[in-house]
Amino acid sequence: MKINILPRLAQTKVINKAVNWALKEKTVTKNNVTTKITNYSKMQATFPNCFMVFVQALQCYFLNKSEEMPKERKIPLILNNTYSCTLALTTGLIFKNPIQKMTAKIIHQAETVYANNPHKTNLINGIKTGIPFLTAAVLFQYIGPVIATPLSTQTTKWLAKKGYIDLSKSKKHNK
Amino acid sequence: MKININNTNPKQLNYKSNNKNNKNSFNNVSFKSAPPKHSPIIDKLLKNKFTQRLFKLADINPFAFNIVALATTCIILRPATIMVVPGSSKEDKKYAAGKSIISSAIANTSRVVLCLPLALSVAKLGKEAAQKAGETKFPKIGTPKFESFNYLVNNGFSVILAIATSALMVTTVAKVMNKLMPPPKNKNQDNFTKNYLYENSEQFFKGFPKIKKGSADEN
Repeated sequence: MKINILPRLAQTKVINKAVNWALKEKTVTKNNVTTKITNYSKMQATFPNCFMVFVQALQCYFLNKSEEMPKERKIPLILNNTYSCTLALTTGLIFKNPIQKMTAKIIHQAETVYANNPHKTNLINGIKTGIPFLTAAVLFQYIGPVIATPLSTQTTKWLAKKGYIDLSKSKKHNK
Repeated sequence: MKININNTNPKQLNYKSNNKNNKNSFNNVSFKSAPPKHSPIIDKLLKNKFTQRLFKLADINPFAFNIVALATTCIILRPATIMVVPGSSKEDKKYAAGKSIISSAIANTSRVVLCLPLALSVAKLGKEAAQKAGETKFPKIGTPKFESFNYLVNNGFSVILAIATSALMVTTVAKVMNKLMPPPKNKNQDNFTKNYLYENSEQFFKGFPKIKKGSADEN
């Protein structure tokens, strides 16, 4: 049995329209330099951030909805998610240029270090593809959440002080 | 440079005169001009065998490299630093650490089990289409059409998968953390056995229709 799902998917109208939309070209002039930008290249730059926001929003929705989660834990965890997401996005935007400079520096240094290495092209290609993954992992999964945890607890304390949340009531409901 | 403390000559203790005398020696150690282009830390990292192995893995299979990077940060580094960093209560720390471990484990396993076969199959079909002549039903590998199709299919699937994984993550975190750290017991918990027997007695007495509950009290 051979199920041809993917070739059928490639022929459908929705996918064809999406592919044609992605391959549209636009000419942009900046500083007297004309460059052609496709929607695909734009999507590659913006999609990871949008996906990150989408996943965090989904987690917040399911956290708020779940009955198994104790009520007192819901608010700090939701705040943790939102803080980590915003912190990661802002740090990514601010340190965009320094990171690019650092990667260029490292690649320049690697070319001199691996001059006599037999696997030179392999290693340099690996650095070029690996560093974006590493920076994304460190920014989105490490720096943001680590800073967000103390912030979230302190905001919950502040909210409880002001009277927006009753932490004492929610403890009694737990069984 | 050594300075004799017993030396009572005022010229040597005076810093300005010292600087003027030894101006040539200070000029040799200039910090502003020509900083070293190759930083020694990065040099050591690049020469290390373990990092070289990682870079080779990134070239051959970037998907696996991404999973390795995510797993190391989420399962080892992040929970460890969350537990160390002050400013939050202990329960919040434990929940955040547990959430990071469980969510990364679920997301990475789902990627390996479901996303990787899809990406491989799309690449295989593209190769097969490239070997055929003329127009084919499937876009050929190497063309911009195939690249955009590949990106759209893989990421669209990951978007659909994210809904399921996030729902699964929340339930597993709640179940695991409730087992690890049971919530504080109520005062009525002491009468738990009595209440349990009383509630389940109805089912027990169904088999004996003649005997009713509380009949002993009436007599």
